[in-house]
Amino acid sequence: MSWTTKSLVLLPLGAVLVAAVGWWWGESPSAQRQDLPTLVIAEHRTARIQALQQLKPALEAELGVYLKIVEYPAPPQDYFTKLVTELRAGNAPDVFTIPRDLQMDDLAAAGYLANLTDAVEQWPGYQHLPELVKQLTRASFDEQVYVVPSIVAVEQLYYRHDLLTAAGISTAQPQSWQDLLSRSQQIKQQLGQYPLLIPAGLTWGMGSYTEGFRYLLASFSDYQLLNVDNQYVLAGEAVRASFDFYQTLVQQQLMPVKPLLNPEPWVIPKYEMFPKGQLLITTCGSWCKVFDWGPDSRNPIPNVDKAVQTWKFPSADGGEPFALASVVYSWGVNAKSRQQQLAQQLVLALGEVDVALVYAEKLGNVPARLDAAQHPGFAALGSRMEDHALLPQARALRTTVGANAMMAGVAQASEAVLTGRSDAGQAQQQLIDYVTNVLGDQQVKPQLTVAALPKGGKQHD
Amino acid sequence: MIKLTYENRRQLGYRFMMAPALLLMAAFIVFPAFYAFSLSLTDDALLGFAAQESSFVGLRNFSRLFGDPLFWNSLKVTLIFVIGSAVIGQFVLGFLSALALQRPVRYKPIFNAIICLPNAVPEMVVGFLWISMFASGEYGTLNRFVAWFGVDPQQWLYTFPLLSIIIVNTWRGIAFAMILLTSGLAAIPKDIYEAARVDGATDTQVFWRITVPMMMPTIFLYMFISTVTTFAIFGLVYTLSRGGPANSTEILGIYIYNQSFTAFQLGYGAAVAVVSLVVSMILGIIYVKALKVEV
Repeated sequence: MSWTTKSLVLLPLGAVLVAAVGWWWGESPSAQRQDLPTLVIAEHRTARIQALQQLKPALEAELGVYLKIVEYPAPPQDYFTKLVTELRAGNAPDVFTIPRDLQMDDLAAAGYLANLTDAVEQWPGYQHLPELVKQLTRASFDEQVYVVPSIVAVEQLYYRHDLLTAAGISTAQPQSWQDLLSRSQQIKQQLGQYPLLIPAGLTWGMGSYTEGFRYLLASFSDYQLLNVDNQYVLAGEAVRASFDFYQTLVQQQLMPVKPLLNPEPWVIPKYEMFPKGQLLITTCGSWCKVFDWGPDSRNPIPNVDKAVQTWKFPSADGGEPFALASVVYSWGVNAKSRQQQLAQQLVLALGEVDVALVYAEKLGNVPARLDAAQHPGFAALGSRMEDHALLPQARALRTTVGANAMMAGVAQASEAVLTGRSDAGQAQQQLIDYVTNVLGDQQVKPQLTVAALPKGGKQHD
Repeated sequence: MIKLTYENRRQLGYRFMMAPALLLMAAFIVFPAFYAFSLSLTDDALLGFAAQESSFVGLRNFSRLFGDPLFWNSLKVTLIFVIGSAVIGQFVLGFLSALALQRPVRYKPIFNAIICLPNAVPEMVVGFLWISMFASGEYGTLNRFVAWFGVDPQQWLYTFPLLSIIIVNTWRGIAFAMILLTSGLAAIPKDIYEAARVDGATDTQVFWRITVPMMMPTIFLYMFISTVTTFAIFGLVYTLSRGGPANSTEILGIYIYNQSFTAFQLGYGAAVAVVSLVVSMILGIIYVKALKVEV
């Protein structure tokens, strides 16, 4: 054999050997070599991965496990799609986060989530959760607990206090939709900028509901998205009036419409227009002053805590203005995990206040537990301590299986209003048709149920 | 014992050699197609109760599909996209490039390489590259270019969404068209051209009476391949526009993805995929029939 031929054979063999050794070395950290059980945990977005990396040594030591962190794609929708396909295929991680509370029912109904009811109810942290959070961690179809909450987003209207004050426009809390519209018209007239953003449209995806339509629906004190039979209540005045509100914003050019039709519709209004003062009010959550416009964000607003302040969302029917709350990134256990006990211990550990504070600090939300307020590290949250105080009074709309279809329907129907293809009534019908088509007649209530349900959740009895 | 003749053994050998290809086709094309069809008759989903136990719904997904304006919009967008980018854009520019490079040109390999480069870049990378080109605001590459002519910054992907994705796909596909059509041009015997010249034919006459008719099989082969592959495009358009704004670039591939992996309705998504397959097959059959064109 000539040297050339020998090289051709030996070089690839050497490369394979080096790669194999590297792989073995990389996959064999000290913890694994000690034969500790391994738990695979999915995480996504740089800030969340950093938080988990920071917590990993303590969690490993506490539970006596090796935690293998698997990095998933960043945008929540892509993360969720990958997670769901892996859960279906049976090769998903042992532990993972669920971006929004309203995705839990669909995952639980599909049999992907382990039932954590006993473990969570015996967990000391459970008693420190606000009632609303407790409700949002139970699946509506069987009232069982499938997730452990860690952090919560408190969602309100965020406005440019600095610019409104400079222009002599009132910054008092708007009490009603009409108040908010009048304020918006005044802003448009005086500043010549878009006053208000309430997300809508297809490309905003589930955010069209969670960051937009949901605020409007929750403005009706007596309205709940579900009736006592767990059907979606989509016909009736609250839904119609919500589409009407969008239609008014579009017709009076109070909301920037074009950017909402872009592939990444949040980029221009939230990351460009709002920091530049070309948009004055937007719906947003407790993450916004950190993640969207904080000093370390890509679009910092100088002195953001003073420049940007919050209003509660005004009521549509004479009720009190309110803040919305969502359980975000709660922890779930794969029903097919071979390490059920350990995985349950891990998610309970992830529900502790210390952990929630690390995540809240990095990501910008607030801890789900009320006892976090007594923790020495709580002060690090700054102005978000006020958001945390709103938790006991915050409002939420409970959803059930099919939330994904309902949100897709909202995205489609609201886009039709944005583009002028449909008026409010047509959009409502479009929503009903879509959800009925996807979920079947049984899951959609054709008439509005106005039974006086308590704020903050559906009640069965 | 049956004694095989030499011819029989040879035939058997050919079939044996074809077996791996047939097995692969069965495993990765035929079986998935049948599976997709069976899935389209159920309410299977990736989420909710149907994910645990799906049920047979007959043709309900198809009846929903045919009454779904978004599906018809998607089909229309797909046809415009295929005609605009594959049939017109890539073919015309690819043919012109092939003709131009038939002539003696200095630095011919460099021109060849320039035309072939877009095809060497992965689909997603092309998408991100053109996002940067089309980016709105004053820093977008195209906006910087048009600013030299006093044009204000545009939101290209919003104002001309379908045209934008057609341009990108045309740019990417010219190389394939050029290579295939060049091989077709090279196969035309030179003596036919010489005979035509001796008979006094002009360049235009030579092109329309000899080149085009002799190229017909290659042209139809190219049309067949490019139509079917463009019909199935996903990554490029998904990266660029995700089907928006307002569904204006929602080609069938994206519509199927959205139904299956954003709305998580596998049954319905499979129904759209089956219809898409049927449309592709009809187009394919038309081309295959046309490929038998007599020159």
